[in-house]
Amino acid sequence: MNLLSRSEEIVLLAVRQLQDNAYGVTIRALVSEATGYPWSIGAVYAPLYRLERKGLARMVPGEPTPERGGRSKIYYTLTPEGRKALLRIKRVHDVLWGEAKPVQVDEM
Amino acid sequence: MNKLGQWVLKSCLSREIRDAVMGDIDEMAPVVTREEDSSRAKIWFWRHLIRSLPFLLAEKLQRKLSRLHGGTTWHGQEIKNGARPSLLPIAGLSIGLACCLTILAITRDLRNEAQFVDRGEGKGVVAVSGPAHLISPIPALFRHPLKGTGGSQVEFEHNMILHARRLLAIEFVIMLAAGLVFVNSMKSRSRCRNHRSGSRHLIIRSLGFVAAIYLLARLLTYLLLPNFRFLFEKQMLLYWLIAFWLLVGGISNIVPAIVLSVSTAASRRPRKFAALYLAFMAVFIFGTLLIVRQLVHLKDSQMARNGIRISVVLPDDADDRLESRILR
Repeated sequence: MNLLSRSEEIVLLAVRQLQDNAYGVTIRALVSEATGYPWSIGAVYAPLYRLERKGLARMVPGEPTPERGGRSKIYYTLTPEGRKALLRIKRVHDVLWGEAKPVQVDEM
Repeated sequence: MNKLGQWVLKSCLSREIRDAVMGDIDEMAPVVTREEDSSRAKIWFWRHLIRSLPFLLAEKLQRKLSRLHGGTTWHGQEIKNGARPSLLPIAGLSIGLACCLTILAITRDLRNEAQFVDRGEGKGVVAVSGPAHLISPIPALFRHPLKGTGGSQVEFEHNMILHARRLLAIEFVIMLAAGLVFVNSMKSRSRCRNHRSGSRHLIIRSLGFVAAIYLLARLLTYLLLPNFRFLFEKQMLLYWLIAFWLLVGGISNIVPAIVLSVSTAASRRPRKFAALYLAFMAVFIFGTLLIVRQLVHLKDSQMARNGIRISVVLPDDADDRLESRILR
């Protein structure tokens, strides 16, 4: 079983949450807000490419818009395999977090 | 986004996401410019670009590698399904690898040859003896001029003809491998219109690639193998004709393969196109074999009839030590 890397997992979750509006800018904004760290656009596209290669996400070319200098967007959508991968990783988290003691801040 | 930034981005991005990433930055830039003053916006842009570059370069590299790997696995699947053209690119890649190994081996061999000639200290001439009018262009392959002219003869076995034959064989393999890898590239499944299989852009680019490989092989021969600079002399016309045959043959080998692999007509009538391709291949192989046979025959008969000997002609004042060093 190939588990997702952390960045792939975060980006895939962002794609899932954004649904039909998942493209570079919105994904970057969402993951930056969620992680509290400003992601670069390259840091978003690298995991997106890996997800696409693994068949977990799919590229859908969008229409060119004037605010983007006439350049088109690439939207990303989850594939059924992507959904399964997210469920699998959630199950792993649930199992591991479920059997562990609650993490205390003073343990750090 | 200034021109330099645009150029850096363009060169670091793979073509699949080039427009999207540049559009994303264009979309983000006004927000930043509104919030920050223009100089800080510039700093933001360059910081963003520099932070993105490693990821974008890695993505580009991965995409290129996976295109190569994806092509191979795709053809692997085709073989499983019993499709015919799949063997071509795989064979091409294998031949290409074998060719690299052979080139390494022959380069090593020729370096030893060069060391051997160097021992003559540029004072001798490797010559072909025999009636000049009977010497065919083939024994010209033997001629290896060095500085100075001769006197006493010291005969030795020269293996230049073996090298020349090997060189021809290698060039043949290079052309074949380049052609077959080119067929592989023709199976690109890119979304870009210019890179779709069978597009004129891709055909021109790929033909250019084959020609470039050939010219590179010639240039490397010239630069790295000084012993073979005589290949560029006038009397080597026959050699060039053979090279031209290989070039034309390589391309004529490729064209039907492309038709067979990408054309919808070919998929409708696969047998007809397979027969066409096999006919091309047969003509090409037959012609090449004929030429090689003629070359070998000509060389053997000339050697036998005229008693052509390969010699090192040394100046009269060459001492025994030089002679023994050459023969060593």
